[in-house]
Parts: sequence; structure tokens; C-alpha cells
Amino acid sequence: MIRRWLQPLRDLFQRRRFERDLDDELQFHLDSRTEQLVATGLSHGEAIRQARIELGMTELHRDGVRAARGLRVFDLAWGDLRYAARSLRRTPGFSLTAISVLSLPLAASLILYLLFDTYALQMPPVQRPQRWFYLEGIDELNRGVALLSPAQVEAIDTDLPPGVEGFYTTRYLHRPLQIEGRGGEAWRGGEAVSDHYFRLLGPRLQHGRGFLGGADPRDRYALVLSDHGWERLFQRDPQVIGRGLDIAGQRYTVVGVTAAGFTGTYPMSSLYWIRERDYRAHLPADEVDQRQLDLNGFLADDGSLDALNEALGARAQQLPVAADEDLVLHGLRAVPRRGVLREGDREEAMLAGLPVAAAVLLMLLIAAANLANLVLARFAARRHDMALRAALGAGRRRLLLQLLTECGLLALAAAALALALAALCIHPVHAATFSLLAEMGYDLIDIQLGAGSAVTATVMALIATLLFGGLPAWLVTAPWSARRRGQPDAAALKRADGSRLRGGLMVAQVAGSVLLLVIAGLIGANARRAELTPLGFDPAPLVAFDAGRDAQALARALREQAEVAALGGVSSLPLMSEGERMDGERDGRSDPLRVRFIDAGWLEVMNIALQRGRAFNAADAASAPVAVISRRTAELLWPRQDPLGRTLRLVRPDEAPAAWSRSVEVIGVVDDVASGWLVSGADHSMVYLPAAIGDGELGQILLRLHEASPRTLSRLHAICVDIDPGADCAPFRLSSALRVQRLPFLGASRLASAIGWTSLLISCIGLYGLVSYVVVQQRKELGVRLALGAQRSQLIRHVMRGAVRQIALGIALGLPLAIGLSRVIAALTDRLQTVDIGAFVIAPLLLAAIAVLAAWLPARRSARIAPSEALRADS
Amino acid sequence: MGQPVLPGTLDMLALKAISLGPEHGFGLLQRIQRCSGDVLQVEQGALYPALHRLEAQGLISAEWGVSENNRRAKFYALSAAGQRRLQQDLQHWRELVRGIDGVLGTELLA
Repeated sequence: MIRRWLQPLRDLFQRRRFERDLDDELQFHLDSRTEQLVATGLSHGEAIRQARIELGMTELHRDGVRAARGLRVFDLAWGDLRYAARSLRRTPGFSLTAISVLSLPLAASLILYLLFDTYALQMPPVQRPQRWFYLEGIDELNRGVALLSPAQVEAIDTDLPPGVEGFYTTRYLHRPLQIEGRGGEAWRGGEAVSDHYFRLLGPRLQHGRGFLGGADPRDRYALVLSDHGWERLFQRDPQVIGRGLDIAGQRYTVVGVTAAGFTGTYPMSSLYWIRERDYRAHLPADEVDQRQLDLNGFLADDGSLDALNEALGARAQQLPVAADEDLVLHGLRAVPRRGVLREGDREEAMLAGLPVAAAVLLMLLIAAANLANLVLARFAARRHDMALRAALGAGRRRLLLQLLTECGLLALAAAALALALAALCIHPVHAATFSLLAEMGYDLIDIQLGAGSAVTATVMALIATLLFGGLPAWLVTAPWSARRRGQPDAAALKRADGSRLRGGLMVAQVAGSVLLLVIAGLIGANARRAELTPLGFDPAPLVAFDAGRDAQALARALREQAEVAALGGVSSLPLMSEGERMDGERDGRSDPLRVRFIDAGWLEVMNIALQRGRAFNAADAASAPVAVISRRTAELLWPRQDPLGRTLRLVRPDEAPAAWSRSVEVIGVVDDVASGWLVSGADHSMVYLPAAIGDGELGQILLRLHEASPRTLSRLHAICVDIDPGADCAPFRLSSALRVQRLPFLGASRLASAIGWTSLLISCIGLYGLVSYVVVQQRKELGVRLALGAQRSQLIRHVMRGAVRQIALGIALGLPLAIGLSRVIAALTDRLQTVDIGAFVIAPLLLAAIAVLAAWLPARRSARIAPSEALRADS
Repeated sequence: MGQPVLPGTLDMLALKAISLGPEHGFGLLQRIQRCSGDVLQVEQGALYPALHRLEAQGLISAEWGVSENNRRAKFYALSAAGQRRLQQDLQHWRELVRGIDGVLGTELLA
């Protein structure tokens, strides 16, 4: 049976032999009949003639045989392809326009898909991915807790639950590296992993070996490089095995290099792997209580996640009790791993990607509508050709196939161009999207265009074919539907002209473009707001360090440095959080407020001016019942009254992990600053409470430097490492936090503008084409009007009337949609500005002006028609 | 004078002719005419699409060989599936003929 199905393909690929055999068979028949006739007494010539007459039209028989062998389908398809290619070659302007219009949104879709696939969908090259899982803790509010402490991991890993092949841990490191034989250091990313990491994940190695496991002494201070790391750190030195790499002061020796394509299991590229036990050798004993490890594993062949989760339920009770309540786990669960992102992060990535995907899809639809318009006009102009084919026996199905073949050829060409564009742009777009990570020294995962991308582009192109080619082809071939008998009349041909559909498509394109441009305008407004919001302080000279375990010693050592102008401590960094949320109760009322704990030096570091009263001083002990508030907070709590001396009770909200409350007296009022989310402007409220460096409340030490050069930062980092080698001593510039906030809006604004303006360009191309078509179609009528005395300006107005109506309708449809969408966004979040005159008024007006211009340019041609020529020509 | 083959019966006639022994297309044509006593006239060109259709359905097999007059010719032979199909077609034909005979043999009641 399978051979029967494959036979047509075999005949197709051995076509010459098939045709030759068929010729031979028919020739044999002719020769045999000729011989027979000669034997009856006819002359040879007469016999041949009679034999040929009896056999009939051999070409018809050949067609019959080809149809019987299933080759007719291929022959017809090939014929359609050649006809479509010839037809497109004869109209290069239309073909190039159509291919360009479709390739832009296809390329954008492909780039978006590649980014999303790499980070959210793609599985790293591990063995047995279907058995891969990660463990997360469950806190008292049933929320997942991603990281576990070494002590917790040890308790879980002591004996394997049934059905588990093995556990392994990973910890992402971002440390300064020094390569043996080379000066200078660079901050690069890698992982500290458990002994069985390479055995369980099974990545291929191109040089050397992975870790042997089982605390093998040969693994002591061993290091495995990724292919990426081999290139970046050792320039693919063929003698890399045995070379040394200094990580945060400890020398490691390279023992292996993984194959290209494996860069770890994080959404950043890991350049190296070291053993967790070697890394922890430098950490003090009390760090085992810190939650820093990712715990993952693989199920055995007979294992299941349900059974594992059941076993974990009992094991959670045996976890060591952590001193800090924040670290207490109330349960454990195993979750299947589907890529480099965890489930929660994957969902967030999908959520973040949805608006972009929607915008790109809308752009694709606009392009498809545009093409449908162009294609409709083109097909309608070929009605004579179709009537001729129908008269020769082609049914509607044949005509449809021919038209769709032409559209499919356009779509495939657009897919090829889209692939080329995506190949050119994917790396710059990838780098721009994650530029901040790259600047902070993190290496990005490689994105490659592969066979999958080509398949994706082709499938999208073929779907687009159905979108922009299907409906016009159906409409234009309606006069030849099976229900009708005979040739269609003029009325039927006129109805199949598709003028209403063209108008509707144009309105839809303009509406879509309005929507995209208005949204782009709103995003741009928010980006400008993020850019222009006055902070009230200068982040450029501010650098933060993690307070670490010996914050006082660190603060003392840093304060002594000449480069440090001022030093202070804070609970949460400005521009990285809004501060802690608490309820402020006074005079029987309660309002939500934001709170930061600060030491006496912090206001000076930030240069926040005191308006009234006093700031904290050394005499204000930590937990003293005093507070300094911002001006807006004073206005909020005691409008038009003097807040000094008033009492405020601060209470952590019910959902906070630990209950806390304090009554404080307001001792000072300071200027407002924007230290939270920039799009919200100046802090809505801010209450500062006193604390001291080293008492646990202040997690960050903030410095204001005279100059923040890389050399200064490196020196300060070295001081921090001297005091506490195991601490996270990476200096963090507050200007980076500013970029973290501004960059997404800037990126989104640029992306939205690109999409919006591209959609407008596509719509304008459509308008130009449509009006041009109208001018050509109505040439005779316009000639008559001119001959009867119409003014040329009247002609232009007549031609543009339809286009202007479509533009107006499109804006009338698109604007309410945009307003509706902005209302939905406003309901979802109050952080974004959703009303902007520029977006809702200027953008549509600009679109209208440009669209009218696109329609006017071809309309001018109507004024240059020579009436005598127009009247002489056939319509 | 020969009669054209009834529509829909060419496949059955071809299968029957082939069942009498492997033969080339021209020979099969002669065989059908001869067995019908020159009553049936098969349209020559129509036979070849029918043969290729039967071959594509796996009811007959084809092999190139040498004819009785030393020419290269394509010989067709019946397959097991073709044998079964022939039996089915013959049974259907006989039932059809019986039915038609039954109608045509009925006399008008006075």
C-alpha cells in the first residue's frame, strides 16, 4: 500500500524514464498494428496512416496515462508555478512592493519568535529532558521559594527519594576573573555546581572531561569551560587544558570544555563551571543558612513527579529550622523544567511578550490587508484571462489554485527575504534588548537561525497567503462557481470586482495603523516621563555596596578613602524599590505609606535638603521613635498644618511576613525626590526611620564619590573583598538603576514607534496603489468628464473622495479602539500614563495628513489625462 | 459491426483478458476483440490509461520483455489482488445481467 502511494513520486523523479517507457509502449502498439495491416496487403505508408488514425490522439492518451498514475496533479501545479512566476516577472513593481510589504512583519515576527523561543521555550541540550525537574520551597503563603540554603539541600539530598535518579545544585556566580599569564580582571558569569552536574545533565564535551563526582580529589579546584568561555577567555587556545583561571582570588585549573550549544541552564550564558564544594570552601560556616542554591534533579525511569511530591511532603518536615523566619519553608514541591526559565518566570516572560506579539500580529494583519487589496485589484484586472481559461474548461477550483499559487510564490519570496532580514537584525536586536545585562558583564545566550526558523518563516508565509490571497481569489472567481451555468454576465463580473471589499480592507488598515500609532505615542509619553522626571538628586556619583556581614568595618574602611565624599546606609536602594509599604495611622485615619530605614549620613549622601525641623543625628539610636518625612507626605497626612511634633503610628500590613508597628514623632521635613518608579514621578509618600549601619535593617551602604572611575570602583571592591572575601562586593552604580528603569520604556517606545510607523507606511502604500488603480480603471470616465468641461481640480477631488472617506472611517474606527485599550491598561495599572494629547490627537492627525498625501500623489495623474486619448482607448 | 465497450466495463474486460495469460497492451486488445467474436471494439487509446490505472492500484503487474516479433514490449500479468477483484467484478456483472434479463424477459400481462 505504501508503495502504491509512493509510486507517483517515483514516476515524478524518474520522469524521463517514465515518458520514454510510455513512448515505447505506444510505439510498439503502432508498429504491431502497422505490421498487421501490412500483412493484410496494405502498403507500409497506408498501414502506418491507418494505424495512427485507429490509435487516435496519442497526446490525449499520454495525458490519460499521466492522470492514471497520479502525475497530473504535479504537472498542473508545475504549470501554475511557471505561469505565476512569469506573471510576477512581468510586473516587477507590484512583485517587489508585495514582497517588501509582507517581509517586514514576517521578519519582525521571526525575530520575536526567536527571542521568545531561546529564553522561554527552548530546552538546553540535556539528556532526558522529559525527566528534568527543579525543586522549590513553599512559604507560609504557599508561594514558591526558588532558592534553598546549603543546609536545606543537604537535608533533602541525604537519601534520594524513590523514583529519583539524582539531585544537583547550581549557583550563578558573577565574579572578577583573572586569566593566568594575563593582567587585569573582568567580571564574567559562571556557575558553582554539585559534583554530579555533568553526569546528570550529560552535555557533550569537546575537550577534556567534566567533573568525576564523588568528591574525587582530581576534581579539586577543577574548572570546566563552555565553548563560549573557551572563546571569550582563552581565544580558543588548543592547549587550554591545564591552564589556570583565578576566580575571586582562588586559582582553578581547566580540565574540560563543553561542546558548542551548551551554556548552562540559566537565561544567561555561563562561561565556566566550578564545584560548589570548592566555592563554599571560601564561605564562612554561617553562610550555610543563606538561600542561594538552585536544586534540580532527574527522575529515574520508573519515577513520577506525583510520587516525588508525595515523598517531599514528609521530607519538608525534616528540614533544619532556620533562625530567620524569612527562611522557614513549609513545604517542598518538584516542578517539571521546560527550559532555562522557571514556571513563574516563563509566565512573566509570556505576559511581557504578549503586547509585543499582539502589535506584531496587528502589523502582519495590516500588511496582509494591504496585499489583499493589491492582489484584488490585480486579479480583477485579469478577468478576461480567467474567462478565457474558463471557456477552455477550467473550473473555479482550477482558477482558485492558479491565483493562490501566485500568492504562495509571493509569500515564499517574502519568507526568504524575511529570513535574510532576521539573520541580519537578530543579533543587534538581541544585544539592544539585553544591553543592560551585557554592560553589567553578563554574557547573553547565543541565538542562531536554524532550520526551525526557515520552517517557521515558511509556515507564517503560507498562512499569510491564505489571509491575503484566499478571500480575493474566492471573490474574483465567484462568477465561475459550480452553481452557475455557462459564462458569467457583465453584472456578475462587476460584482466580482471586489470594490467594497477593497474599501473595507483599506478602512481596516487605517484603523489598525491608528491603533498602533496611538499606543506608540502613549508608550513614548511614558518614556519621556521616565526620561524627564526630575529625580531631586544626582545618581551619577552614587555607588552602592551590599552591607554584608561586617557592615560597620566595611563602612569604616570605605569612609577613610579620599574618593568617598559621603557615606550612608539604607534599607532598600533608591530607584531599585519604592521602599517598604506600611500603613500610617493618625487621628483615626490610615493611609498607605512608603518607608525607608536610613542612617544619619544618608540624607547628606543623597543631597536631600532639609525643609523644616532636623535630620537624624548620631544621638538618634536605631529604633528611636522619631521619623523624618517628605514634603508630600506632610501634605498628605496633615494638610496645611505643621507636621513637626505630630505622632504617626506605622504598622506593617496584615499580609507582611512578620507583624511590626512603631509610633514615631515627626522631627523633620525634607524635599521630595523620585526614588521609586520614575513614571509615577516624585514619591507619593516617604517616611524615613532611623537605623544604624550594622544593626541588620540597613542592607545597603551608599557612597557619594568625588569621581566614580573604574579604577576607583576596583579599589573599593578590593577593600570590600579584604574585609569579607565571601561577600557580594560588586559595586552597583545608581545610574545603572536609572537605566534599568528608563531602558524598557525607551526600548518599548522605539519598538512601538517602529511598528506603528511601519504599519502606516504599509497602509500608505496600499492607499497609493488603490487610488492608482481607481485612476486607471476610471480613465475613460475621467476623460469624458474633462471633455465635458470639468476642472482638473474637480477631477482630483472626485478621485480622492473615496480615499478620504476610507481614511476618515479608519480613524473613526481606530481612535475609539485606542481609547478603549488605554482604559483597559489604566484599569490594570496606575503606574502608566494613559492620557496624552500627543498620542490621541497629534498621531491621528499626522496619520491623516500622510495618508491623504499618499492618495493625492496618484490622484494628480487623473488631472494629466488627455481626454482624446482616454476616449480612444478601451476601458 | 463492432459495438463500443459499455462504460465502466473496460477495467473488468482488461482484467479478464490478462487473467488468460501475461500479454502486452496490443495483444490484450486483440484478445478482447477475438473473445467477443469481434462484437466489442475497444477504443485503442483508452486501453492504456486503463492498464496503467490497474497497475497503479496493484491489480496487475508490468514487466518489460521481448515480444513474439522480437520487439521490446511491456507485458501485464494479473496479481492476487487483481484476481480477487476480477471475481468480484464478474459476480457483480452476472447479478446485473440477471437483473436486466429478468426485466427484459417479463411479458406484458394481458
